[in-house]
Amino acid sequence: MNEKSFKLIKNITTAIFLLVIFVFFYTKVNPELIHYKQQPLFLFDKFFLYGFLKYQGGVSEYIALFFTQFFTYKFAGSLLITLLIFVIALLTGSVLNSFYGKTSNTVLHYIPSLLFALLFTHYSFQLTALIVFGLSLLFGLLYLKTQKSSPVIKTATLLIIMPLLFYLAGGSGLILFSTIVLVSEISYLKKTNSIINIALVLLLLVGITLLTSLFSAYTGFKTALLGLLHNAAQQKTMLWLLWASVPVFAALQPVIKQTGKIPFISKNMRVITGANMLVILLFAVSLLPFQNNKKEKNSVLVDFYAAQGEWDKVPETAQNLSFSDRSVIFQVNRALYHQGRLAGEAFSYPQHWGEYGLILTTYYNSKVLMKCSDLFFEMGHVKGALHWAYEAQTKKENSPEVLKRIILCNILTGEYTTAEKFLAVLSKSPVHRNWAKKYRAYLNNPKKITNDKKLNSIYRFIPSNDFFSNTRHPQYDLLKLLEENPDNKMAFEYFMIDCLLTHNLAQLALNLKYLDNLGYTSIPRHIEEGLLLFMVLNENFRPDLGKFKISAESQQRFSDYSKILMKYRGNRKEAQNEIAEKYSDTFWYYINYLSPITLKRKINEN
Amino acid sequence: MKTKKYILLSSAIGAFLILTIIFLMNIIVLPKNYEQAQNNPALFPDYKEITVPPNIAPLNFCIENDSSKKQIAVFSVPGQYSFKVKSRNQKFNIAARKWKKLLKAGKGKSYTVEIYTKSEKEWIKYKTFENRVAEEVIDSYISFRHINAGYILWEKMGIYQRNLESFRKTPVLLNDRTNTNCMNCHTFGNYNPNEMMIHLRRPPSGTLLCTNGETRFLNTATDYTMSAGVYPSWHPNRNLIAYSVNRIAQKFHSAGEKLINVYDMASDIVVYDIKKNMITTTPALSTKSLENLPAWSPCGNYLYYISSPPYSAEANAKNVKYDMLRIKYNAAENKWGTPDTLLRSSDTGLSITYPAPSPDGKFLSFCMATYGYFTIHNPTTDVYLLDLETKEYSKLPVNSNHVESFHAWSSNGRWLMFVSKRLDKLYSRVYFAHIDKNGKASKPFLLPQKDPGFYSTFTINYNRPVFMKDKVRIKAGTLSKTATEKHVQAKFDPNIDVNALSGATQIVRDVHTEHTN
Repeated sequence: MNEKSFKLIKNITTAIFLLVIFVFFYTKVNPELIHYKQQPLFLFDKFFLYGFLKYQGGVSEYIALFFTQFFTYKFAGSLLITLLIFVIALLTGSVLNSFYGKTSNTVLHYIPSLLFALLFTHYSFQLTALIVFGLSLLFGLLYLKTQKSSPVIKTATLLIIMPLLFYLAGGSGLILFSTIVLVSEISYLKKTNSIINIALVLLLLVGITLLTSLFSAYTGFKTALLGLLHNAAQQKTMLWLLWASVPVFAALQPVIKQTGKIPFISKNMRVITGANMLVILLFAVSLLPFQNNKKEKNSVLVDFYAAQGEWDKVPETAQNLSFSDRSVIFQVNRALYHQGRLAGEAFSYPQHWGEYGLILTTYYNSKVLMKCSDLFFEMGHVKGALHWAYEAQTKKENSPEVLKRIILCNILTGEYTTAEKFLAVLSKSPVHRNWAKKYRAYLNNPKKITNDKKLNSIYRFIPSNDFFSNTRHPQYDLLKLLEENPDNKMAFEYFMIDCLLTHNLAQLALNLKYLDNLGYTSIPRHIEEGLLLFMVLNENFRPDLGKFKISAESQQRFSDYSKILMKYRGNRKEAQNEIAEKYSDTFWYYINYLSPITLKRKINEN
Repeated sequence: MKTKKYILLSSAIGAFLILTIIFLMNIIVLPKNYEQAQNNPALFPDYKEITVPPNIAPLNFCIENDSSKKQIAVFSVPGQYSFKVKSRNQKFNIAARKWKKLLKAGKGKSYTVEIYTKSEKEWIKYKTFENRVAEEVIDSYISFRHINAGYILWEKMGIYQRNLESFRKTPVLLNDRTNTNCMNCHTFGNYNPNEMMIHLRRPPSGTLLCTNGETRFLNTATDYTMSAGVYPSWHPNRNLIAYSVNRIAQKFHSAGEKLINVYDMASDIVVYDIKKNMITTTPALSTKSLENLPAWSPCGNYLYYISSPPYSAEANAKNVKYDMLRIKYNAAENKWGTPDTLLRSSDTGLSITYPAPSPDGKFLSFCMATYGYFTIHNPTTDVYLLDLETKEYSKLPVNSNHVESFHAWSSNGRWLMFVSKRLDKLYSRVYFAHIDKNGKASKPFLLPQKDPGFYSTFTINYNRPVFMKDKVRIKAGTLSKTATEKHVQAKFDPNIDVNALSGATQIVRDVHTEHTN
C-alpha cells in the first residue's frame, strides 16, 4: 500500500467514523432532548459574559453554553457534537503523537471521543466537560511543543499556562494538564530541569487551588482542585476514566514503542494502522444499537412530548417507564385530560401515587417545579403557575422554558413591565429572539391575547377573586377555580379525579352540578364508578344527576364486580386476581388494591 | 543604516499622526446651531434634579426613547469646572477622575447638565437640569443579599458588598461555600464591617458572628425560644443584639397585584448578650401578641419594635395590622421599662413596620402597607418619617406606586437608603435620598452602575441593603470554615421569669401544632 492510498483509506475511515457518530446522535440520542433537559440559555450580552468571567472555569461554561443552545435544532446539534468529538480525537492524537512520534496507536486517539459520545447519552451531561477536556489537551500540547526548548522557556511556559488554564477551565482542567506534563517530564527524567518542572507543576497545582479557596468567595478547596470532577452530578466514574485516559495512554509510551520495534510490526505498520481504523469504526458502529439509557431517554421524552403538546405520544412512551416516578403518571394524567380521556380512562394507568400523582404541589421538589407550573397554567390558575415558575427559576435561573412561562403569566395577568423585563433577557438570545419579538407585541395589547387561541383558553379562566392558594391541599384551588368559572373543564375533571383518588366521594357527588356547563353528553365512566360506590355506601343519598343518568353498562359492571367480591365472601385479597382480570381499569379496583390511602402507603420519593 | 533610519522616522511620524487623529477625534466641540427643546431628556436612571453625595461613583446614564446618532453631555459647576462627554449609543460613561473633580467643585452647591443630541442633520439641546451636591458624604460601602425571585426555594445566593465610590461589587460570602444553604439577615454593629452577623438557614444553620476579631458560629435557638434569632438589631454598645424569634408562614395569592403574603403565627423579641453568650428577654416583649422587628435607638436606651394582636386561624392574614412601640432599656443594669405605643395602626389605617431610628435620634423612618409586616412583596408599602419630638409623621416623597421597603440610615443620618421595585415591579433595587436636618427628603436616585443598561437584564434582587463605613475584610474562607464548625450554643438567661416567657412560648407552640397538623 503506497502512502497516497494509505492516506485515502485513513481519511475515508475518519469520514465514516464521523458519519456514524452523527447518525448516532441524530437518530438515537437526539440533541433536542439534551437541550430540553438542560434548558441552556446563551445571551449576546456583556453582563451575561461578565457573570462567567468571575470564577475559574466560567469561560468553559460560557463556551459550552454557546454551543449547547444550538442543540435545540436536531441536525445542527448532532453536527456540532460530532465536530466537537472529532476535535477531541484530533487533540488526543496530537498529544499522543508528541509522546510517540507518528507511531502512536490510532485507536487510542479515538477512545476519549467515544467515551464522550457515550457520556452524551446521559441527557444531563454538560458539554462543559468536553470544552474543559479540549482546552486542557490544547494547553498540554502547547507545553509538549516546548520539550525541545530551553529549560527557562519550559518553566516560563508552565508559569504562564497553569494559572491561565485554571482560570479558563477550572481545577479539572488543571489536573488533566498537570498529569500530561508529569508523564512527559517523567519520560524525560534524565534531562535537566525535569525534576524542577515536576516540583513546579505540583506546587502550582496545589498552590493555585489553595490560594483560590482561601481568597475566593466562590470556591472551597475541593471544588477548586477538582472542578467538575467534583461537581458533576452524574457519571463521575466515567469522567475520571476519561480524565485518566490520555495520561495513561501517554504513560504506556515505552511499552508501545518497544512493540513498534518488533520486526513484524514495524514492517506492517500501515496494515496495523489500517486495522486500527477498522477497530475504531467497529467501536463507533457498536454505538448505534446502544440502548443503555433508554430509560433516561424515555423519561426525557415523556416531558418533551408534554411540552410540545404531543399528547398521544405521552402515555405511549410512559408505558416503557416505571411508574415509580410520580412525574410519569402526572404527565400521563395531563395527556389523558388533553385527549379527553382523563375522567374515563385515568384508572387504566397505575394511579398508585393517588392524588400525589395528579398534582405535585403537596410534595414539591426541585424536579417538579415546572410541572406544578404547567398544570396550573393550563387550567387558568396563572398566579399559581407564576409562583411555581419563580420557584423553578431559583433552580434554573436562565432556563428558557421558565423565562417564557414567567413572561406569559405576566402578560396574562397584565403585569407588562415585569414581562418586558424578561423579554429583554430573551431578546438577547439568538435562539429565542423571535419568540421574544412575537410576545413583545402582546404587551399592553389584550386583544392579542384574545386573538391567540391557546392563550385565550387560559386567559378566560383566570380567577378575578383572590383566594390563598393551598399548596398542601390543591383540591381547594381546583374547587375555587371551578366556583368562579364553572366552565373550566380542566379544573372540573382534575377536581373529580382528585375526589376519587382521595376517596372523597361526597364531594364528587356534590359537584356533579358542574357537568351541565361542560358539554358532556354522558357522565364520564370513572365518575359513574365513584357515584355507584357512593350510593351503595350511602343508601339514603341520591345525588342530583340533573339531565344525566348512570349508564346501564356501568351499573352492570358494578354489579358484576360486586358479585365477584361476594363470591369470595368479601375477601378482597382472594378476589384480587379475578377482579384484576376484568376490572383493573376501574376506580373500584383502585380503591381496593392500589390507593395509598387503602394501603396506608406514605410518599417516599428520593 | 539609512533604510533603518527612514523606517524609524516614518514609524515615529505615523505614530504621531495616529495619536493626533485620536486626540482630535476626542475633542468634543459643542454645536453652534441647535434647536432648543423645552423639555428635559428622558434619562435612565432618572438622575435629574437630585441631590448626590460628594463621594458617589459616577452617575452614568442613558437617554431613553432617543434615536439620535450623536449625543453630548456637558457637566459643569458654573465658573469652576466643566467637562464634556460624548456618546454614540445614548449611554454616557463619565470618567471617574473628572467626576470626582466635578463633585469636589460642586460640594454644597449644584452642577448642571446640558444634553445635546444630533439626529439626521440638526442638533437639539434639551433643557438644562441641575443636581445638588450635598455637603455630607455617604458611607463608602453597602452590603446586601443577592437572591432570585423565588419565595420558597433558592439555589444561588450570597451576601455582597458594593463600594459606593466606585462600581466595585465583591462577594462577602456565597452559599457555594456553605452547602448552598440559605443566608439571610445580615447586620453590622455601628456600621463597622468587622462587627458582622449573618444568619445561615438549613445545614449548616446558625448565626455567623464576627466581633472583636473573632468569628463564631452560634445557635441562638434555646428550649425557651420559639426559634433561633431572626430579625436583628445591634445595640450601640456592641455587646447586645436584639432579635425577633418568629414562626413564619406564607400564603400565595391567586388574583390581584400581590403574589405572596408572608406572616407570622407567633413572634417575640429577645436580646443576645455576646460576652455572656446568653439570651434574655422581658415579659413585655414576649407576650401573646406578635412583637417583631426590633431596632435600637442610637443611644441604645430605647428598643423600637412593632406588635400586632395574637395570630388566630380565623383572622384573615390580610387583616393583620401592626402598631409601633418602644420600650426603655438600661443596658448596664439589664432593666426594661414599660412599652409605649408610638403609632397605632388604628390611627393610620395601615400596618406599621420596619422601624429605623435615625442616627441623630430625631427621626424614625418606617414603612406602612395595607397589612402585615413583611411588606417587600406588598405593592402598597411606602416609606414614612416620624418626627420623634413632635410625633408627627409623613409619607416621604421618595415613594412610587410600587414597593418601597428595607430602608436604612447612613451613619451620619443624612442619607436614607431603601429598595424599590418601581423599575419592573418584581426586583428590588437600591435607591438613595438625601434627608436634611428638618427631615426633608430629596428626590431619590438609583444605585449607579458602570453601564446603565445593567438593570435591564439583571434578574436578581438587592435584598436588605445596609450601610457600612468600610469594606468587609473577613475572608469568605474563614466564614465558611467557621460555618462548618460546631455551634456555640447560646444559653437562656436563668434570671428571667421563665413562666412569663414560656407562657408565650407555650401559646406559640399550640398555634404551631394547630397549623401543621
